Amino acid sequence: MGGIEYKSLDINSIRHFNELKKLIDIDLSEPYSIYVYRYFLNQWPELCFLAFDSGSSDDDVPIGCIICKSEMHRNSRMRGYIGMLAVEKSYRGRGIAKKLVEIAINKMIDDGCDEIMLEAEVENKVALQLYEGMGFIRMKRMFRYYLNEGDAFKLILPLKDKSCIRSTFLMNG
Amino acid sequence: MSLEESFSNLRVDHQDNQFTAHDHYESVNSNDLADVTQLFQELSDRLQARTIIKDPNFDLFEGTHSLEVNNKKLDSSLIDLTEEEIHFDCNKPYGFGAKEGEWDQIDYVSAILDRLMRLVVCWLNDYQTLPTTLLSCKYMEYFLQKWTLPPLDNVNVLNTGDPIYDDVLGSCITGIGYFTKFARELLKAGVIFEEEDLNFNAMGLDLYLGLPNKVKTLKYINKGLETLSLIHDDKRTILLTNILKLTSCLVKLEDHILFYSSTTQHLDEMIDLAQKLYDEPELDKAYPVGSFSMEIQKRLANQFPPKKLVEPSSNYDGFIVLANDIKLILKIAQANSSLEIIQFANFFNKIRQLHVIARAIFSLFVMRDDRSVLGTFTLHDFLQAHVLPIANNLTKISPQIENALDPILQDCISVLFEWYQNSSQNTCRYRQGYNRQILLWDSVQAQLENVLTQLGSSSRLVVNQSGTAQENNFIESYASWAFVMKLNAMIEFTLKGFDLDCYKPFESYSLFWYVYYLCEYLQNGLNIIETGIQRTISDIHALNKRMKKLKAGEKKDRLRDQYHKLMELDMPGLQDRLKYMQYERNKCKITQSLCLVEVVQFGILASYNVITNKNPANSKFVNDELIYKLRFKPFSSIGSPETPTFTLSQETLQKFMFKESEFSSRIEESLKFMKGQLNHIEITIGEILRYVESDDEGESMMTGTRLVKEEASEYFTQLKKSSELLKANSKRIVKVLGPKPVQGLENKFTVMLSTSTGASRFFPILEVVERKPRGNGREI
Ligand SMILES: CC(C)(COP(=O)(O)OP(=O)(O)OC[C@H]1O[C@@H](n2cnc3c(N)ncnc32)[C@H](O)[C@@H]1OP(=O)(O)O)[C@@H](O)C(=O)NCCC(=O)NCCS
Repeated sequence: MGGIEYKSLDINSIRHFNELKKLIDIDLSEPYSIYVYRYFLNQWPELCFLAFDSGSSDDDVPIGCIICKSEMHRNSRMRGYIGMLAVEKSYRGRGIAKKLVEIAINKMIDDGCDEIMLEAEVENKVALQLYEGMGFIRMKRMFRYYLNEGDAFKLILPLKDKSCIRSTFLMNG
Repeated sequence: MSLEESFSNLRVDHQDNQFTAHDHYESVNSNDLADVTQLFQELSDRLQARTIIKDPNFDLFEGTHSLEVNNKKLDSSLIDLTEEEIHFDCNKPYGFGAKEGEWDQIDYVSAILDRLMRLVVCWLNDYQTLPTTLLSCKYMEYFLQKWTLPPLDNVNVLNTGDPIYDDVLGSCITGIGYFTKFARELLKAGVIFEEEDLNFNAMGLDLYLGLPNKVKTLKYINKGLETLSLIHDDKRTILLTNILKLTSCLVKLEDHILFYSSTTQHLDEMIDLAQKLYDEPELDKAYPVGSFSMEIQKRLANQFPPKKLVEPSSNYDGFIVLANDIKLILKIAQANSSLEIIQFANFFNKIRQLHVIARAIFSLFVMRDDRSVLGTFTLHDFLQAHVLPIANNLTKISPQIENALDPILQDCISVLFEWYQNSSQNTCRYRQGYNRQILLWDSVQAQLENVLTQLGSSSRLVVNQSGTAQENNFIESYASWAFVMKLNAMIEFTLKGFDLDCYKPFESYSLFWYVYYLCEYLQNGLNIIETGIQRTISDIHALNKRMKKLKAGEKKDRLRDQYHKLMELDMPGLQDRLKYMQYERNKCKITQSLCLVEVVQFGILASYNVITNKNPANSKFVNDELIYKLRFKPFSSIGSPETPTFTLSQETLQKFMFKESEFSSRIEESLKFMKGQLNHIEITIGEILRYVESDDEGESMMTGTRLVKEEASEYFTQLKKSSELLKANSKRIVKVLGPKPVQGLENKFTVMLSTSTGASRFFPILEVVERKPRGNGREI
């Protein structure tokens, strides 16, 4: 088996776009519309990373991906946001997701983010363990956040002091 | 023909608001249609991959809910329907009369209404959507559709010619429709939240213009009952009779917020009927094919992806939950004192989240449209009533100061209302509500203290000396009250995080230690208040002494009158306030001791090296100080009590840890210490429970929990169980980890926050567990 290569998204590759959509849709009970993908990828293509298996017969099909964005939150702090993450079933448990998250976080740090945020289902123990293993903490629980009825946690990884001050006070200051 | 011309010629008839796909398409002449394919193709060819066409106000949130044409999972127009579904006709009396072996109309109507009733429970108790429950019923849709137009003279919108359909089914659907309107009113009032608490995706059918009023609806249901009484079919008429009666109970629920009725007769009836329906064996007959369908999702304005219909279980007991929970909240109408109202709000929704309808009724029943509380207190009175259990009420304050205080008191009222509203929120929002309140109480307290400072410096110009002292006392009472409310909000917010599973074991040290520290301040705040009450009591007694020293005369008589009045009117209340303070202090002591034992156990576990208060994550992104600060962000702006710094929190843990050389003796001491603490609080909890269960029979304490006896009992019983579990955990730690730390324990063991049934979720136990390899060879 060859090595895993990580690349940022080529927004002009319709093939990569379709493949990553497939990769993510497969684990969702209700898929995202094409708009959601376009919303992230067209505005923040540099915050989308794909993993490829260079030893595979079709080494141009991504086997893992992470999709993020970064924006000013409440006029007070730069917030990176991990929107989607998935690794193809047969490649799981090999540290690929961890690597993808690391690459994305590093990029968001370089871009000046004060914190990284994401939501994860309370029942998604694997995802929680993955993110918590990287320093994210559960800030709040949201009641029936997902359309499929489960509660979710909002997780944050603080990167700078600004992450630790209520935005009301940052806005005033 | 130009495109513009074609559009202007296109005449879409939607007079009756109905766009049924089949007849809609049939009614459009193909000459009226404009082919826009080419135009679209031309435009899309010019689009670049990066371009997004969207309204500027369209944000990600809406984006995640956006649909997609031609995507089977996201395009409801692709739902496959059967012929029966498409052609289902609500005005046809499905069934074959009384022919033997065939399904009769009454079979069908029973099956339809039985399913519909159970779908009500799925909608409300299981938080399912309207289109997958009630709106999946063709009759429900048909009626709601009819009600989008002004009322007809005849309440009956069905015209099958068969009374089983026209009266029995028709009246039941009308009653359920009436109830859905009530649920929508609750949502509109903003006391519960669309989607998370209740789904009301009515697909444009929520106009209710033609919905008959309550009297007509109930009369209609009675007509249905009469129809049933003429049919001699035991099994199904009993079922249908019970269903219709249950429906009329649902119709009556609005009385609790329209007329603030606290009558529970219909609720008892609901419980009785629901029990009967629950006990019935399941029907062996099916509803007519096509009477329940996903069709509405395909045909009407639908902003959601297709969703499969909900299959209801035998869930009539859901109505029992609904009725019992409403009965519980109506008990607040029996409150004899402001203390009982406070305690009601404290306990009614604390351990078990009540039914969404009951939670919504609570808010509207307590805070009324006429801006009164329970119809008896004005907002101002209510605020005072809140402060009174802890305030010195002998105070007369000058109009000048009253004016100065007014805006602050208005703020107090707003926060207080927020506190009440929050008490009925779902369990996740409840914690977030406290997050916001921390700031609000802090601001109110700061404003009051500011007035106090100003009074201290310049007030003597305006008011005389003794006036100032009284006024200071008065404002101090409010400030202490706000301080106590703030501390309670901070404690509740923090401990609720354990209940909601928001913390990892490594964080539990700093959080329990913080609550312990807050309790220290709370205890002080309560002591100040108690001293104030005692001062007032002494003032009254002093009046008596002063009077006795006076010679007989007018002055003495006046003082005697005043003294008797105070003894009669104020003294019992003051004594009660002292007793209530005793309860509050005991409660605070229990929380504080439980937290202390948790931190001591953490210290022991840390000494064994099986846990630290640092994030165990092995990642370069981990910054313990930032993580700590983020966790304490809700308190970061609070000046009093000051938020402990990361360094301080680290240092305190050292104090709870033992060096190897002193391990044996210190662990011995700690175990003894914890046992002492826990034994002590178990006695205190027992004492509180005795008061709760006896409606405050006794001299030393007052809990004010008469109306929420069961809920308060459960809360304290759970604390007792947690105390027992903590005791057992002390022993278990030593048993599992040995008398002394040995090398490598951290590789063999880890620590989990565990909760057990019957114990408090606010105080999970730090349980030592063996590390187990995960399926893929890695460890958990
Ligand atoms: C979540 C997901 C992306 C993980 O991908 P992966 O490549 O298998 O993960 P990795 O091998 O990089 O593991 C990273 C961490 O995840 C956690 N993890 C992975 N597999 C786990 C398992 N079976 N059980 C528990 N934790 C697990 C571990 O913390 C692991 O770190 P560790 O090995 O240092 O202990 C993958 O399971 C997936 O695609 N799931 C479906 C989509 C999804 O849930 N996405 C997240 C939405 S927020």
